[in-house]
Amino acid sequence: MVDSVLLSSLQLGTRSKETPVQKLSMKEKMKTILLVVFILLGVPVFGQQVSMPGCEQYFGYSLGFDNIKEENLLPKIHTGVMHMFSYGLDLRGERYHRFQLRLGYGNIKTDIEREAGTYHGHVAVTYFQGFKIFEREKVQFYFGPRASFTSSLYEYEVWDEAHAHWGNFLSLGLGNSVALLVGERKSFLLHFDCTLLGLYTRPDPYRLYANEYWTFSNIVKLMNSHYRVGSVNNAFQLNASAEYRTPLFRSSALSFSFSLFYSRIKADVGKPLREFTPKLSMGVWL
Amino acid sequence: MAMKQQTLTRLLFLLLCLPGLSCMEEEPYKLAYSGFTPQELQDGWSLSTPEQENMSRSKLNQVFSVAYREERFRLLRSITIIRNGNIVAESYAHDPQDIGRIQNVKSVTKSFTSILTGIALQRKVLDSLTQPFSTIFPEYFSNRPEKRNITIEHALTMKTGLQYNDEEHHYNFYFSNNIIEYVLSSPLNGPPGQLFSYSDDNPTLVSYAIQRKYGKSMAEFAREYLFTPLGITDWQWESSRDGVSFGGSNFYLKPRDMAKFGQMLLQNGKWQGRQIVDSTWIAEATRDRYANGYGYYFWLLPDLRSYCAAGHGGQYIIVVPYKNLVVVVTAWPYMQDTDWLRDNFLGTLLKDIINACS
Repeated sequence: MVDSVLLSSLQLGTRSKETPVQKLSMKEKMKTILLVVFILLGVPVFGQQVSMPGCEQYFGYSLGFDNIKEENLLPKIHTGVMHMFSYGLDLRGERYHRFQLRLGYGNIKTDIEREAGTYHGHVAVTYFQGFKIFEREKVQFYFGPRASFTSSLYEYEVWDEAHAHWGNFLSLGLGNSVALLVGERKSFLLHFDCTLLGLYTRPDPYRLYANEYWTFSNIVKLMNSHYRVGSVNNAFQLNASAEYRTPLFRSSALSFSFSLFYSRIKADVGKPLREFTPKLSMGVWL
Repeated sequence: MAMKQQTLTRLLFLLLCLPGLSCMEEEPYKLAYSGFTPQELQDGWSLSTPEQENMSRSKLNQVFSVAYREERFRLLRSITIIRNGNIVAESYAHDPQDIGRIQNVKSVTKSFTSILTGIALQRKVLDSLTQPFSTIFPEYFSNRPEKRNITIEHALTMKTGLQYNDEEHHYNFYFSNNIIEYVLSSPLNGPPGQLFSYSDDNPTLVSYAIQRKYGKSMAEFAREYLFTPLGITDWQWESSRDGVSFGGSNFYLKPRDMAKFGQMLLQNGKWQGRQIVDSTWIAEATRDRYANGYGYYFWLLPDLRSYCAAGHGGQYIIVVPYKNLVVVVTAWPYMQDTDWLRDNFLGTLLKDIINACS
């Protein structure tokens, strides 16, 4: 349903508006797209969603490879499997409103640990408002601001039995989205966004005295105090995804995607927290 | 169509290349070895060289090289060697700034509690080792008649009989609003004075006994009668939510200040001419009391004719009286694989350090 609407919309555009781009070969068309994506914007542009006007909801599950480096604690990388559940809401027209909620959980370890003793919780809420910049046969491109809040909480029981470690970031940035129709009701979607500035909070790197009281309210309070303003030098996040969507039933689509999340948050005092999570996702659009 | 697929494949390849941008490099925990010459810090220590203290420089170099190079010492942070009262060698394997940083000495804390008990007895803060806790804080024993004869000595030898396990009770122990009530609520494994059970609860009973009799926490007692005389100014001692200094762990100190404690033990309780604790107490505390290799919160190393304060993950203050030698080791207090440094360091490198002394 979704992709058929897109198809008809794009075909309508083809009939009503002949452009030089449409006379180019497929290879040249793709080069044109990449030119816009990589040169004019100065960054690679990847996106998601192929829906036309109307409300759409996404429910998905992701399996990720969690890579964490909390340098305040030690210069080792914790790795492991991350499970993530996502909910998305899209409104696409002349403007593209995109909302996402992601909840993730990882159990990670360094290479010297026998068993994974570190726990990672991740929450991300993202909103993107894209302005239609480019529309051709089978292609749509949106560009615009995005805002997000991400929160990662770690409990390094093996390395620091007393303390919670975290990196929270309330950010503003830019995002863009490209939708390509690649077959009968099938689409390929690219999305890319990154942060520019925001408010972030990190724990005091020299908390040596007193165990933290591990209650939900105390940890939430602790994690959300002492916010500081910073730009990319202090806090930077990047999201990129490539999604393939194919019809499932008349009004739904099955989605497969590969995505990357990179984050670096560093307070003025102490060392950075780095996260890098490539993920494979599967979900449905309703 | 084939062209389109090829382009999409290229795009996917580009995405897959992004991990290379992530800067998530695995860094070694230890630095490259660059020698063991001690730094002048004006902290009460005098510095020396191996030659001046009759130690083999080449053997010490070998010890440090192995400690830096080999994976079995992977989380080592520092080694400090004192002979004849002078720092002969020291090196900070993880970060040179560690020389000025306090860190959790884990169960080395217990040995400080032991010495503070000796000072408390010497200063008549505590009456005797056979004094039952029930006479010091009787309100906790009114409905626990079976525990009324637990004495200070039972606690100092880990023989209170309380059925307490650090791993199982850790969290509640640290977050109890009434830590003594929590400790004494454990059932008895057997009559006090019989079963040895190493844990953090026993030293905390001793800490509270000193606090009750002194009127301030054991940390404050330590400040007045131990740290100030030793010239130790930078330290922290965690306490429970109701203000009882943890007697068994979570005391923070710099490696060189750990060495001062070791040197004071080596000098039979004296530091810079001042008697801080009676020599008889040190002799009692470092004697194998029940043929289990344990004194009053000190571990004995009979094969090496020495004794030590030992903390989880590789924190050591090792005293070798017959060589007039003190060795301090610190490491990351890693929670898995708990014996990694003990087995490797005490079994090999400590012997090499002792053998480096002529």
